[in-house]
Amino acid sequence: MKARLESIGAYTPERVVTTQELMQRMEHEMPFPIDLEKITGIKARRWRAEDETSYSVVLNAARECLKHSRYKPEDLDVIISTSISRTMEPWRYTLDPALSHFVKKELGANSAWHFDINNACAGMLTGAYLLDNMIRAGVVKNGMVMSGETITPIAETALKEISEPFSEQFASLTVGDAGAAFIMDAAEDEDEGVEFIDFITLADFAHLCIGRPSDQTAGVTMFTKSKEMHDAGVFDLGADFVKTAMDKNGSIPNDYDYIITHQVAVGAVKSYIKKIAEQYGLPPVQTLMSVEDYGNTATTTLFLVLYNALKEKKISRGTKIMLVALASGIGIGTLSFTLGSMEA
Amino acid sequence: MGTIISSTGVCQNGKENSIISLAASAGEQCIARAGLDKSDVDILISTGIYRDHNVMEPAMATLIQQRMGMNLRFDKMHKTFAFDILNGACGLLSAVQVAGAMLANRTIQRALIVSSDVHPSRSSTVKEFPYTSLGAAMLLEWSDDPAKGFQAIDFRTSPTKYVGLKSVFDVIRHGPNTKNTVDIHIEPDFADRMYSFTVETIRNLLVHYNAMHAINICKLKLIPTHLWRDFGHRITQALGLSEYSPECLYKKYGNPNSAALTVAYHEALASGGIRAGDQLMLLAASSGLNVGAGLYFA
Repeated sequence: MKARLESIGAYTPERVVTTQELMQRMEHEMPFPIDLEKITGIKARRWRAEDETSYSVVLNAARECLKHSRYKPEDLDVIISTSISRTMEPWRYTLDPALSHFVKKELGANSAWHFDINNACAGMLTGAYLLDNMIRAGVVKNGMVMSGETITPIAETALKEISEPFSEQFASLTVGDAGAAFIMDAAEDEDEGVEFIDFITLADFAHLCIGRPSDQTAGVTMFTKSKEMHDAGVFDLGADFVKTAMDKNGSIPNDYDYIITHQVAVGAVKSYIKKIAEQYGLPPVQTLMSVEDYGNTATTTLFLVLYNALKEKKISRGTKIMLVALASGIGIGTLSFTLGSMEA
Repeated sequence: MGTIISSTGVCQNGKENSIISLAASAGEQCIARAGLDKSDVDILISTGIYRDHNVMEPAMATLIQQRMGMNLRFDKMHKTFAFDILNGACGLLSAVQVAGAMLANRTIQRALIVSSDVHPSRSSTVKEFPYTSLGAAMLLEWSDDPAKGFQAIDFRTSPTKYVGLKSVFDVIRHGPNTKNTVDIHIEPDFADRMYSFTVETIRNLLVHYNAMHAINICKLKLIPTHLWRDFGHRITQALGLSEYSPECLYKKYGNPNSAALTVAYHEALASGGIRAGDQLMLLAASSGLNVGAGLYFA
């Protein structure tokens, strides 16, 4: 028995902030100009409205998902929330009860169990891994995995605190706000559904990207040791793990219509896609991106890409896709699936 | 057949007062007791809802994995995948449910669940923090024996908006010191309402379990989280159950929140209160209001 993605939704705030506008807001002058748009390929990102929170964002995404689903909230067996930024009010981060508790009540998913996952940017794909197992083991018949990220506060802190060009907070300027949600259930036929999912944590590198409240200003920060990550060959290690997962399951990159990776920056995505195929002596498989217009939307990137691709009719029933997560931890995950009737 | 608890560990005094240190020490103890090597662990789940210095990423589990030196890189033979599952004191049962599905599918062979809640400042003397700092760990494996293991895990959430306890970290209120703070608001009637909802939930669940799993209610032993000194005792009295959870457990451990259920099981086992063939109900109660119950055949 296979599980499948049954429906999907996403939400992005209305306000657009271009990279050029953002860089003009840096409080400390740099010794030389830094063209962040050229370095990252990110033209713009969405920025939360003042009253928007991770909670309001995830609810929008969840409701959009339910619009395209055969299920009503009361039919759902489990609600899994995976946000890194868990705000229900601006600047107040919820610890107890879980965010999923509040979401399930607000949606009216009164029969559902719930829990939160925290696995940095790999949160939603981790949710898919767990829910796929729960469905195949008969623990639940269906469930919804979701995330709402109002993560641009780390960019605000970076604009205040970056005082030199090699600051560990530079990666914070690449983020954008978004919500995404998907429902999984049992596949209806052999031609659709999840073929395999696999994950690893390379904990040797767990300290290389840390997000926490700032100890200089009132805000939240993310420190990324980019040079150490580059020297450690994180993308090579990720590509190697993806190859191991594919070999174990008898696939090769050319089996896929698209390989979609976590959205960090345009160059990084292209490089990763290239590395995955190079291991087989193959040219890169086609990919899809959201990072140019939305930045790095943390846990939601892979599903924002999927949702947009469905809306633009770039993918449809029968499209075979691999999703690859890469996150602080360092967590690397891969999900191979064939699209069924899911629409956006 | 089902998921079995093959080992547990509890650490009350770690090298440092931190979630990472206490959870790692408990995890090491648990693995050693099982006679295994840490490289044998396929999944590491952390259920602590507090975080050292309110670190939002990476998952606490990855930092605990790093501290334990567990499959730090991929050697093609062994790997560990680490992540956090958060659901208050019910999180342990959520993690068992998830790990159980992976064990049943043979996706994994062993899951280590670690739990620890320490004040974000890592100080052990914050008066307003209602929880005891310690680390607890539980190792799960699969058994094909139909008379062993978790037979069912269920959760109930109260239908009202009443939550009882809310915990946040507030960046505007605490500014640059936010990494060392948490604001916990507890309603004055939280204890009474939690007790009432728990009794009502378990009463209904027992009817259901009796029908589905042929339990002997007279011999069913309750292993509850000890939110307050007399919580377990009041529940067992109200339901007419046999309790293995004496008040001295609270005296010894206080309320370790996400670690409470593992500690209660560990202590019950250590003091000879659980024997092979016993039918147990592991019971967790948490703000929301949320109750989790696991029917377990020892």
